[in-house]
Amino acid sequence: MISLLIISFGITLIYLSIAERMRTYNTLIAVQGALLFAITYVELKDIDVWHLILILLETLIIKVIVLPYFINRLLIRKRGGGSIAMVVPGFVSLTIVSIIIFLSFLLSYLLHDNQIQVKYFTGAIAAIFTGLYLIIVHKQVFTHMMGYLTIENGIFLLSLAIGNEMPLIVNLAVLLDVFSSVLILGFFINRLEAFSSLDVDQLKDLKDS
Amino acid sequence: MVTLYFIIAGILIIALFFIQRAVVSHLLVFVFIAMLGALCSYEALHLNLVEDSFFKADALGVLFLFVTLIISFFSAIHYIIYVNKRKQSEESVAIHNASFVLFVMAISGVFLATHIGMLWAFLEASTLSGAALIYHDRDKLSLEATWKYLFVSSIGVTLGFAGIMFLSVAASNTPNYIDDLVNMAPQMNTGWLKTSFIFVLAGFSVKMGVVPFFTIDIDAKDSSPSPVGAMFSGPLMSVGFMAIYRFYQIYAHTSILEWMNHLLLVTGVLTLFFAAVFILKTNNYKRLLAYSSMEHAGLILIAFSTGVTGYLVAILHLVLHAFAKAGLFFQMGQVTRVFNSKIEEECGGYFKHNPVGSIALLAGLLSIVAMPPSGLFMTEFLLFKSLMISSQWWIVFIVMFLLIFFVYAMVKKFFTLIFIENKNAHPVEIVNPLESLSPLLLIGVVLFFGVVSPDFLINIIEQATQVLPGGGGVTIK
Repeated sequence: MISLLIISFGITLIYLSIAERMRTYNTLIAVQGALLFAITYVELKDIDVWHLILILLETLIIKVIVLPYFINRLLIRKRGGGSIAMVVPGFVSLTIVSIIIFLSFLLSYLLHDNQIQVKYFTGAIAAIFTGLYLIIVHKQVFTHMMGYLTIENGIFLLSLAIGNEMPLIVNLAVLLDVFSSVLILGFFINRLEAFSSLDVDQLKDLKDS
Repeated sequence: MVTLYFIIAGILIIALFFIQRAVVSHLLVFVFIAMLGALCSYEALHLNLVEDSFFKADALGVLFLFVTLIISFFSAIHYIIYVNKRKQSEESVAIHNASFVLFVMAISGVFLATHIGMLWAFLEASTLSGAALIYHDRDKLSLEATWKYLFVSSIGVTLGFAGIMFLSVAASNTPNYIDDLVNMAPQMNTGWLKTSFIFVLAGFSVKMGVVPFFTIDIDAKDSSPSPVGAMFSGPLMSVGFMAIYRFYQIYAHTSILEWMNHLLLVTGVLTLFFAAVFILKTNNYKRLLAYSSMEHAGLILIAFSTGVTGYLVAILHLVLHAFAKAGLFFQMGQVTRVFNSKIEEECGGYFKHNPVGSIALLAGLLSIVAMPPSGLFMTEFLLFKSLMISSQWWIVFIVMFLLIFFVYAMVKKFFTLIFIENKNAHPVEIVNPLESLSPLLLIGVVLFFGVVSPDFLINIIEQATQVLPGGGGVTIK
């Protein structure tokens, strides 16, 4: 069951690499959230109930419902789905993300540490590097935010791979921080558009001379 | 006491957000600063007392809290001057003051946190509140800087979180409390610890303003009001240092100590190199100060990497630099007001328009380029001594060579601003000389400590470094 969920998570990463519309990105991030919810439920149902509720709240309510709704309402709807210019051809991105997933698997397998679970670790590392890849190759701030959310999902999976529980209050603080940061990022994306386009090439006014 | 501080600060933040009357808003900020003063005093009297299981004030935490208290106080005063002169809307004052209190509260949390997850949460909170502070002027440049700061900081802090996760792998099921991790450290897998330290150093570099994520720090200091620039150059740099230091403190008890020192050395030298390249290029006085902060951040890492005496030197340098740079940012805020510009080509002959302010700038220049009697001269001298004792001659030559660029750039640009008349410079305001009192005071402290050895400060730092291998056994008095 877990393997199936992790493989599905990997497939969302591949789709992210070739997505051309804002709505597709948003849906894929929501699907990742739903997969993380399922993984968390299967993996952690034996932990104490408050922890489980908090983590499920983070995945289901925040990652699947609130954030995608907010991003859709604030950024996508008024752009009619919003198309994203591909800087790197889709085929090249597809190949690179596939290589990232393969190397992540290889790395996790070679590490062979009792403390980590290979399946989760593969998904986590692949998500972190795919997120970084999206940020590097795309020129639109929207895609940068999607890359950031992918990295966040990777970190979430990494915490499952390690299985070291944080105290409830720390989890709550981390959840609040992540949620606020995405909301504020969305707010500033909207503001940016009022001044210039959402292309990072336009954000070059701050310079030394 | 810590919980009470956070609860009252939380209430004040909410109140400040909704209060639209500027006078009341400023007053509440000073109420918060008074409360921070009470917290500092309490923690100084109860060193190493664990509070609410997540907080403990060690000597270094208390020292940085005091630095934050002093700079926050002056920053709040200069902000009042800033908004009064610019006729800022009461709404933006309310948002700034609420964010300022949140920012200082988050910084205090980083200094006091004894659980690394909690430390991370406060770091992220400082990013979010810092973004609101940068966006104060609501113009295109501040928006660009805010977006870059928020986005890159979030990425950096997230990478730092990955570092915490890798530490958790190495620590097996040890709870993430710093004291527990220090005890457990010798048994940890060094491969994971190295991976963790790389992520932590890269991720939290965003807060300290060193390689690799230094650029957003420069933009933030340039685009934000000068009182915010002072907070970023002083307390926020201490936050970045503290975040890296906490992990170093844990890993120093393992065999990777020497490897970490090499990594810090390389990061410090690279930071110095990039700062030297950019400082020569810039014609913007606030960016000049920002690159100078970057230079000092690099020197702090280099000093720290030399170990034992270097620990003391690095922390003392950090504290003195915070005072000197805060003073310079406050004074540069006045320069910007006088000429309505911060660009070299549009400023000049400042001495004629504001002699007291020019003296503050000259004193600040002396302090920041580490000329005697600056306290920073003493720390840089000790840095070179540490490097020479450890026979790192190449590093001595490289650092000395790079420092020449900073001295040249700073002296040339400051002298041009103060003494050279410029026909494109059109002064638009006469500044009250009393406004230079706080910069003179802060810079005066740095000059004073160059003449009189700051024994009480060194005692505190010695106490702080006792937790590090070889620390506490040496002195620089």
